Amino acid sequence: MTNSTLKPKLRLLSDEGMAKIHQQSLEVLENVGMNINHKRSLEVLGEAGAKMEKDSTRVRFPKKLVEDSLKLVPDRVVYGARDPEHDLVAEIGGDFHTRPLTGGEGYIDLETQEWRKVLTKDLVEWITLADGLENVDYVASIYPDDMNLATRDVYILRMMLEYSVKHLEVQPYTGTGVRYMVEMIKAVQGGSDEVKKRPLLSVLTSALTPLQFLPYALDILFTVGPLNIPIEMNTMPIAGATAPMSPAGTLLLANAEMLAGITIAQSAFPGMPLMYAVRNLMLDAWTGLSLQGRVETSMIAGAMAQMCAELYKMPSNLFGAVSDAMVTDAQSIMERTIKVLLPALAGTNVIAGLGHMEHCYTYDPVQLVLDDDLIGMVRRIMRGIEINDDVLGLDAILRVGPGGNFLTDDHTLKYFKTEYFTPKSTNRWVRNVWKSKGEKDANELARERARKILAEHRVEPLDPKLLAELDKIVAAADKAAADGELTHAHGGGSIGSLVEQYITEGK
Amino acid sequence: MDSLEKTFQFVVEGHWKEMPDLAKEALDAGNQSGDILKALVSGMDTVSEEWRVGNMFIPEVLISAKAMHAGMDIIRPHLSAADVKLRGVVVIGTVQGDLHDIGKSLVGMMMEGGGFQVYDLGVDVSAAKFVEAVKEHEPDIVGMSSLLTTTLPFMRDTIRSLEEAGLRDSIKILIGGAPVTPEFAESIGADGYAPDGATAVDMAHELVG
Repeated sequence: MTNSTLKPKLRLLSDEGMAKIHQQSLEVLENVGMNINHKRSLEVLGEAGAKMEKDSTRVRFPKKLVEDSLKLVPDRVVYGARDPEHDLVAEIGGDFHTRPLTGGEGYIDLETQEWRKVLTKDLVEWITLADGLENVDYVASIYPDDMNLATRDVYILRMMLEYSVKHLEVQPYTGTGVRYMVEMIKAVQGGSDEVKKRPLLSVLTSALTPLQFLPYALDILFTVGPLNIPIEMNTMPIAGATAPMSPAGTLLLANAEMLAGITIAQSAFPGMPLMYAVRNLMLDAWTGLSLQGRVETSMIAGAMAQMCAELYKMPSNLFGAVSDAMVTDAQSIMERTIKVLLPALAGTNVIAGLGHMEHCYTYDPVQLVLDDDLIGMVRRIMRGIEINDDVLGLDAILRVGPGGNFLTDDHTLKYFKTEYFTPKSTNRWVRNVWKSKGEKDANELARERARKILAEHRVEPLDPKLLAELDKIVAAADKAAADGELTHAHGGGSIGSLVEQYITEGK
Repeated sequence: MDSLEKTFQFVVEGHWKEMPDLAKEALDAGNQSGDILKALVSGMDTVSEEWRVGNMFIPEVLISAKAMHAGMDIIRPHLSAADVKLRGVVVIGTVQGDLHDIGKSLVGMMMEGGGFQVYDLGVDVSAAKFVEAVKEHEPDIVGMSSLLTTTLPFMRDTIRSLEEAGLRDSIKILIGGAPVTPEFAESIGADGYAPDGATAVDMAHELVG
């Protein structure tokens, strides 16, 4: 049977446009360069042929070095999971995967619907929902405000390991903290070799736009590099503030920063799995806020997905199910629908940000549940309209003929489930029935679904001995923080040297 | 598994093509036709329940109904008159001036699935045709459907004609369709309004007691 199905595809850039952005990115890196305040990176880049000045952190990248580094980036990234059924592969031309937002600090309480800071007690709720929702493929966490901030990223990983069997992503706030995360993953997976094969953890690290890397960000990279742990290489350019105002200019600057990150990673660890993970914003010219939901940010994400899929042949990880709205209202759905569709149709490998509200600041569990449906719809779009002799149903039309119906035809029975995606939090009633069921809107239906998942969804428990070991690692991180070896601050020379010591210890 | 259990299972799984042979086999094995009927009906009860809680879907329910009827056709000659009537008889149609077929057909099939003997009069059914059909089939329930506000008055006309023919007291009347409301049903003297096929079957069961 021949299959003539088209996988839908959107292009936002012409071939000439992509080539120009790429060429000018190389110009930016060769002529302007980046400030890289990280000794080990400077050594590696120096050996690789980058141009440096004495007593300066400015690094200029020869075009050939960048081009050669790009060739080393794998076209697929393996995400391991505690339950191997949830292992994922992100690869060019493959289906996209999803993860929730990470990094925000506000929370819409599931029951009161009031905004408040994220609390430690919310961790189990958020992780359980993310683990229990079928269209959330891997888990990233909320960041509580009422705990030891220096080690909360470490503690969050411990909680995710207990309450999720999916792949886990952490946005670390210190390079040193990652040491403890790696120890936990090794404990769960039974050693470095297992971690290298299918790492349970991926981490996000970020450039400081425009054109800088802080020490902590590269500490993270150098800590996970030897273990094949995937990096979400991130930058957050703000059009009109830290990047040129135009979409094209934001695209150029962000792309240059991505290429610099790729060059550092591949010079240090050739073949290191990387995701191109830009989270671009724009400066609202009236309020001065950095916004995520404006439509041009979606166009930029779509253009990046296209460049990764077509030009760089490397996986991308982009926003995503996000919005600047305060609540899950019409604005939220308008913005996030476009923000998911454009990069998905342009071939991205990961849609991030599920549950995101208020320009990256707030998490909403109800929105997370609604995003599960939204992603289901977009997945259905990405499957395309299947065309083959059987699904076309010529035989069924012959059987039924003029004036008949397809209600009980075999073709109906065969395809009513597989050809259609059924959302879980939408109304499919006539008005009278809807009224008799309490006039619930989609938000209320999603809230009920959240409660049901929280009441019913449980994962395979970790061995208590293993859990105790994880707690010991968290305690060691807390002690290091108390001793001043690990701080919440983004930067700090001593952290770099600690990590260096850790790496040279033969990890 | 004996042939009665198998009969039940074939209804639940919707094996309508294989059902006639199975029903013959069950008769040959010496089962009472009434017991085979019970297996068929209890299969449909299970299907209805599974569908109500969201584990089965309309195309599956209809295929199960098709399987049940395939079995019924084989055992009917062996059944007593009371058994043949099953849970009741329904006459159903879309009212005069209205050509909308599929919703009414769906309700009819769901009624069959619910164990009713259904006579589907089709679309654009005049009041006179309804009266004629009630005389012929002696139903317990008459179902009327309309999708157009402009054809709603024909529901009222049909009920009047049934009254004039002296048939109204022998039947219950159920109506449905997009413009129909419970208030309208009451205002024209119908016995009930169902917003969908599921409710229609439930109400039919209630109305025939």
